[in-house]
Amino acid sequence: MKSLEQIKKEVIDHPIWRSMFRGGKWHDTARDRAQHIIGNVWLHLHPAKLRKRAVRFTYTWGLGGLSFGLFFVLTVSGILLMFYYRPTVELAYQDIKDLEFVVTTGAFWRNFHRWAAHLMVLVVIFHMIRVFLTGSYKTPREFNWVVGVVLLVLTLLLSFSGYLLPWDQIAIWAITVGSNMASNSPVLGAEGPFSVMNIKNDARFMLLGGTYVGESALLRFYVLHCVAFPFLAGAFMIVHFWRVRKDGFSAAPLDPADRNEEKLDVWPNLVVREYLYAVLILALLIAWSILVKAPLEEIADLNVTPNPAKAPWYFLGLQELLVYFDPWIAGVLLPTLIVAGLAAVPYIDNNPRGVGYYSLRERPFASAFFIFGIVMWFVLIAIGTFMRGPNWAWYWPWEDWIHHKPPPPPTWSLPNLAGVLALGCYFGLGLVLPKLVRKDIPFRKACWTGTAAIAAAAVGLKFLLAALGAGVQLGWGQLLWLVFSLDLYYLFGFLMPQKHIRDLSWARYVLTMFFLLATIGVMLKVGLRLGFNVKYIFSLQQFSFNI
Amino acid sequence: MKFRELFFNKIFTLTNLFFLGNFLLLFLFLAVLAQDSFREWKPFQKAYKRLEAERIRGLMARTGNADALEAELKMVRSQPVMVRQILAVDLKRVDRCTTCHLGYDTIVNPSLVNDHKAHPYAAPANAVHAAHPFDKYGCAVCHEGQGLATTFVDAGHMPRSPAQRAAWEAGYRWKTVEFWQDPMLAGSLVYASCSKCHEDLPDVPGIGIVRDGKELAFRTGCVGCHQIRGEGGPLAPDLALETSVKPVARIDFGYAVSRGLISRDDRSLENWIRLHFATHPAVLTPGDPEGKLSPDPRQPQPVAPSAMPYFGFNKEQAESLVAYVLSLKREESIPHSYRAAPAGKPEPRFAGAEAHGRYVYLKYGCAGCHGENADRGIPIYNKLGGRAPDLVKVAGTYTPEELARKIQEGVNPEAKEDESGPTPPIYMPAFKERIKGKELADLVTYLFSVGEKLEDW
Repeated sequence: MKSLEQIKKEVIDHPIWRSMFRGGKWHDTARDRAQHIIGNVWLHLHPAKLRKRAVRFTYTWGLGGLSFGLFFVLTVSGILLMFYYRPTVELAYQDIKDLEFVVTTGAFWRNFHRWAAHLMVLVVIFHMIRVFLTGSYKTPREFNWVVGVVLLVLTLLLSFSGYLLPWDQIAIWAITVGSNMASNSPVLGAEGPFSVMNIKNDARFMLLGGTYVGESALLRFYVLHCVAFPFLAGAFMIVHFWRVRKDGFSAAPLDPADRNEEKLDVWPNLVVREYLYAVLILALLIAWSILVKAPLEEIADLNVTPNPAKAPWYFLGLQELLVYFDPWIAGVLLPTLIVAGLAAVPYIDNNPRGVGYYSLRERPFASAFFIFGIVMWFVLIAIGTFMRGPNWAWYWPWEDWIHHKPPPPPTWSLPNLAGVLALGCYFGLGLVLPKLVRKDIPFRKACWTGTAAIAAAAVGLKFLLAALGAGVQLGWGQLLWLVFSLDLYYLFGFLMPQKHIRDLSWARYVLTMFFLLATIGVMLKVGLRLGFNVKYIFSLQQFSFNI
Repeated sequence: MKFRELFFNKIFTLTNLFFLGNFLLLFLFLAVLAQDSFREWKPFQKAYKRLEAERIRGLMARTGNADALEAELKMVRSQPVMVRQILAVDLKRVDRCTTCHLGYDTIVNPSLVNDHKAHPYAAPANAVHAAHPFDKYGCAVCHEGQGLATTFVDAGHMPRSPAQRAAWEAGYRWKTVEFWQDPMLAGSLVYASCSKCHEDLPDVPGIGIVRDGKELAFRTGCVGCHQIRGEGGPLAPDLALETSVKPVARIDFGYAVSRGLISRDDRSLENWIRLHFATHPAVLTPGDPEGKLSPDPRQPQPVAPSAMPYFGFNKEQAESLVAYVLSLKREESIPHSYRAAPAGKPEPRFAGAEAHGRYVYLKYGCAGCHGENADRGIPIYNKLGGRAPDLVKVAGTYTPEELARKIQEGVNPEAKEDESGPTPPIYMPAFKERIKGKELADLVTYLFSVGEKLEDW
């Protein structure tokens, strides 16, 4: 009776097996293991050996690999779905129903594809967060971060284009909301500022192949979703992986002088871990897809607008911003700034510390700013998803949308002169003040005293208004907003940069402060609107410039 | 410490996780296949085969004609278990109802009649079915529901009674079908579908409910305010249009749900119509009489509640009206060759002017506001006096010419009771385009005949 080990050895050493996997007899030596990686077309993107720290789950959380893994299973399940799906207005919805009710495992694959797509968006975002927090984008990996930003955008576009294909009510209205943003682009959109286009040749027309979401839009989105975007994503992924390999994996030695750090064989140490993460996420997805059906509403009907019509969840943050800004600002300018700002990150951040490990301490400003941005993004998404009901009115999650709500209190706008002054002070002072104050401010003390002063001033204002019996009073909720906003500006817009980035070159400093002030500014505008019903701070109707 | 070592070195090892993970995947893969192969409709098909086999064996025992029946038994046993569907090509419908209702599958049961008592296998002889071959019409064009579905809930089954509903909830985990506009028409409501093609209600047993509804609607005077395909009053929605194109998402169930008149899940066009007869419509559509929902509270724009009165129909009357209103629905997708044009009906003849006048009174829906016998005006929100006039009381205060002019010109706008309140929701419309000549004269005659005579001073 042969032992399992013997059988395994015999199989591996069998001529047929050896003919499939390059190399001679398997001796399970370091050389063999390296050869196994190098000699395999799929595996050879890996190095043969890597640092021990690089395989730690808590460093990468497997997120990059999982992003690719999800892309892979999405491709496979997508190909299966393509066998049954015809992208025409008459047939698309019925084909989805057929998948649901008749096709063998059709419902499962549809659920799987849908949930895997949502998960991929999440995982890609978390991968970006991980890469940021470990400083992995720093020299020499700047460009690979930019490629990653492109891949993030492509992931969102892949998901967004797939949204339309079931041709149900969620589909066309999410795409309608999304594509309407395109028509608000400056110059190129029919409804944007400085428009040189009409609705029959603007950016939205190009996207939809028409003036509304119809047959051509479905075909376009089908081709984009099934061919164009996967092709582009694949191309960029190849560059992304190749650069990871060429630039070196980011878990760099803490001490560059130490050349004798212990290294592990990638086969099997890394490969088995990658496999395990893939299995884990697959198991999670399969179980979820068995239990939870993918949404499918009534057949698409352009005559029936759902109220509210919501974009896909990852764009709900931008849709929520439509409340606070002009459509072209919320839908075009801000996303462009976000993407441009993300792409610029490795070129602006020249802090050499904190590469290859989590270190909030060594990169306090960069980490704090990035986390603030991410949290704000998800808070806006959460508001858009859970707090917005019919007419985009504020509904708490426990309130039923079916009940009628009185409209929100009327809004008011600042006079333009005051608005210009406020904005000028905000940006002008914000841009120069932290750099001009050269002396060291004791940070912690300044935090507390400043916050206390702001709180005291706000409470004082409240009681002053009450004592004067003025026409305008300050509620407790408004008081909180006021303290929060001023404190945010003071801590984030002044103290933090004064302490950490005042020594940057002017160009870097101004760019950083611009992005920082813009980010805080969005938050402050949200507060002004929700807390004080301010519609616009500054408004130039002629140029659709309303903020 | 010992346990930690044991755990990490012996149990939580990569090798163990590798095998565990693979088994987990295999298990889940099998779970997917299991979920896919245990489909709700399969047991129904198997049970039907058993029933048929039993029937044939019983027949064998009784008649002794074993040889001939053996072939039939073989055929029944060899029927594959599979999704069955009817492609109604002209109607652009695919109906999979016969996947469970095998008695109505032309291959499994060519006669389309059987003696099985138990649902879903029963196929009693039915003249309407006989006249509409299933392979041409399918099922859902008349019965409604989601023909594409192969599960009980998704098919949009609707219970006939609370008892059946409870039984289904227990037996099939029934709930209303989500995201499908037209759930099935339960019970005799199915006769509302006849008029999709046969605009004149055909003479088939069971259609009485629709006829009753039509007759009741005529006496109630619905067309005084509502239109039916453009015919009728200008004050309220066109009933045919509403039933044909109004999606459930556009119906404001907010007040009905918050007042507990209907549950969220039961929102449907059918129930919306039903609520109008079962409860006071002003509860369903209370408007905004105080202007609380106005965009700017400093300039309130009050909106009156629904003007439709509560007519106090009993349950049977209400159901017949539901059937009638549903029968007004038109489907554009039905080809013209399927439709039987209505035969033009001659106006009925009457012996005297008064009888004709009464017919005119009902025909134009005067009864809707002034009462079937012209003696009970309906309440109207914020109208001066609060209600439509009782014609029997006021007819005598007019001369015949004045009354005719009033009918022709109407009263628009009506005077308000409270000046700051909303505009009264309805007014007396001008009838000069519709009631004229002999009809007008006879209507006036009728009104004077029922009106109280003023005492001579």
